[in-house]
Amino acid sequence: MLAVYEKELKGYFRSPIGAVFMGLFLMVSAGIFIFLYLKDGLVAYSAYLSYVNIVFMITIPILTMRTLSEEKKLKTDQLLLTNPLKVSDIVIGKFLAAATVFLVTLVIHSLNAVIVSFFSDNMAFSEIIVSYLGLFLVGCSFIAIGVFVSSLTESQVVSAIITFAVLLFLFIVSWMQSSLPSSPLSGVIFTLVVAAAIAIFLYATMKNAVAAVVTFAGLGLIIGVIAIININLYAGLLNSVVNWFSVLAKFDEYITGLVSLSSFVYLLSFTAVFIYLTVYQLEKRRWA
Amino acid sequence: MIEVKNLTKIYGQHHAVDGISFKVEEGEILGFLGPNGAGKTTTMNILTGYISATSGEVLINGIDVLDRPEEAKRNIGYLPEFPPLYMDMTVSEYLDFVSKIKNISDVERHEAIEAVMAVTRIEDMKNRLVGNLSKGYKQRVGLAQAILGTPKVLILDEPTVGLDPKQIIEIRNLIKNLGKKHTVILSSHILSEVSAVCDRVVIINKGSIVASDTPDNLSKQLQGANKLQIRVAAPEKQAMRIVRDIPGITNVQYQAEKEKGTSDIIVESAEDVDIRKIVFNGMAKANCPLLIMRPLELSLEDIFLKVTHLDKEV
Repeated sequence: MLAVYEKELKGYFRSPIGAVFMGLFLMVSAGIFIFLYLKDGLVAYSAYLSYVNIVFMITIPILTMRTLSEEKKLKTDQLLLTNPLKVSDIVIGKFLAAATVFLVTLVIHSLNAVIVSFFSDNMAFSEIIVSYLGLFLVGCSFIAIGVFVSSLTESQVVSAIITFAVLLFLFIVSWMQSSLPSSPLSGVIFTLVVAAAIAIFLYATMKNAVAAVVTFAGLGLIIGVIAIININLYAGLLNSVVNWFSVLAKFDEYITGLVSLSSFVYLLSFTAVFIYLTVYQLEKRRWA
Repeated sequence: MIEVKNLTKIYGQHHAVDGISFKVEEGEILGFLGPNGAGKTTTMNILTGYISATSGEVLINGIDVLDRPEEAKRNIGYLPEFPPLYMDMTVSEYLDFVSKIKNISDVERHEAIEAVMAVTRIEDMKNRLVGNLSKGYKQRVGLAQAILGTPKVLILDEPTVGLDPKQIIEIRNLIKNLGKKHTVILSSHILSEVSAVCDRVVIINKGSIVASDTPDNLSKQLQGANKLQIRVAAPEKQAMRIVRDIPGITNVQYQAEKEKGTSDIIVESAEDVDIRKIVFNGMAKANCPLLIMRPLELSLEDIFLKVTHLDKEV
C-alpha cells in the first residue's frame, strides 16, 4: 500500500494535476474570501469557511479524475493487479494520496486564518480549527466519491464530469432540503417512488416482469396498510431521508464549532463505503 | 510448475477459452501459438490472476491463483501484450516502484534493479522518461519489469512485437537464457520464433488446444504418409515408369525438370515401411542414379495452418 501511496503522491506533482488542484482551490477560495469578507464585511471567519466547500465541487473532480481511469486506459492496472498487491491496498493507497494533497492544500489555506487574525479581534480559533476538520472530512468523502467514479470509466474527462455532477447533486439536495414538502402525503408518494425504483431495478437485473410486479404490489400494500393505520408516520419522511444522505448537513455542525461523534462517524463511514464500493467494483470487473 | 486444468472463460455467449488443460515443467519454455483472437491473451490474463476464470483451476508452483492470489503472484513475472508502463516516470523510478510492489527488500533492491537493467540492456536509458523511449526500449523495460526479482514463472505475451530484427534476435536469446532459470510461457503468432525458442508448443484455436508437442514431434506427427522428394537422372517418362514399378510405393507425382535430363518426383509410401530404402534399392536395380533424396517434413507453418483451419485434433 505504501508503494502505491508514494507513487500516487509523487504522481500528483509529476503531472500538473497537483499544482492545478492546489492553485485552483486556493485561488477560488481567495476570490470568495475577497467577495464575502472584505467587500460584504462578513464578520466570522468560520462563516467564510462554510462557503469554501462549494469550491470542492469544481476542484475535487480534478484531483480524483485520473486515479483509476488512467490506470485502466494505459493498462497499467495489469501491473498492479498481477503483482502481490490487494485491490484494497491499491484503492486505499490512491485515496490516501489524494487526501494528502488535499490536506496540504487545506494547511496552506489555513494560513489565511493566521493572517486574518492580525487584523481581527474576534477570531475564535477553536471554532476555526473545528471548521477546518469539518472541511477535511467532507473533502475526504468527496474524494472517495471521485475515486469510485474514476473506477467506472476509462476516460478522465468522463470521470471528472460525473464526479462534478454527483457533487452538484449533493449540494442541490442540501439546498433544497428546507423547501421539501413535509406533509404525510408527500411521504407516501416518496415511498411509492422508492418501491417502483426497486421493482425497476429487479426487472433490469433479473429480466423477470412477474417478480418485479409482485414486489411492487407487495411493497405498495405494506405502504398502504401503514398509511391507513397511522398516516402521520409519513410526515417529514422525505426530509429525514434526504438528511441521512446529506453530507453537507453534517458539515454545518462543524461550522458552528461543534464536533459530534455521530457526524464524525457519519463522514468517516461515508468515505469508507465509497472506498469499499471502489474495491468491489474493481473486483467485480475481474470476475465479469 | 504450472498446471492448468480445464480452464474456461465465457463472456456472455462467447467461449473465449474453452476447457484448456496443460502442464509446464520447471525450466521449460512453452510456446503458446494461435491466430489472433484464439484466446492466448485471455489465458495468460487468467494465469496471472488479472481476470478470473469462469471455471477450471490454475496452479502456479502448486498454489492456486484464485485461492491464494498474493502467494501465487509472488512467483509470477508478467509482460502483458501492452507493457504496463507509467509514461511520466523515469526508467529507474519505474523499476523502483515495481520492486516495491513485488516486495523486494530494501537491501536487495538496488542490486536487483541494476541486474535486470544489465540483462535487458537499458542501463543507458535509466534516467530517461519512459514516455520518451522508443517502442523497442519500452518493450525491454516491460521485460525488465517482468524478470525483476527473478520470479519462478515468466509469462510473456508476444514479447517481440514491434521490435526490429536485431532486437528480436536479442530478445529471443534473452528469453532462451531466462529459460535456464525460469519457467517460461511465451505467446506468439510468429512461428519461426516459437520453433527457435521453445521446448514445447501448444497451439490453440477458438479457445481450445488443437496441438501440443515439441516442434520436432509435431512436424513428424503431422507429416502423415512417408513422403520423399527425389531427383533422378532420367527423363520424365522413363523415371516415372521406374518409380511406379518399385513395390511399396503408393503415390507418385511428377514435379518438373529442374536440371537438364533429370526429373523431380514426389513419392509416397505406406507409413510402416522405410520409404528411403525401397526407393534407393528400386532405383539401383533399374540402374538409374538417384541424385537427391529429401524428406518432405511439414514446417511449423504448415502444421499451424493445418490444425487451425481443419480443426484437426492431433
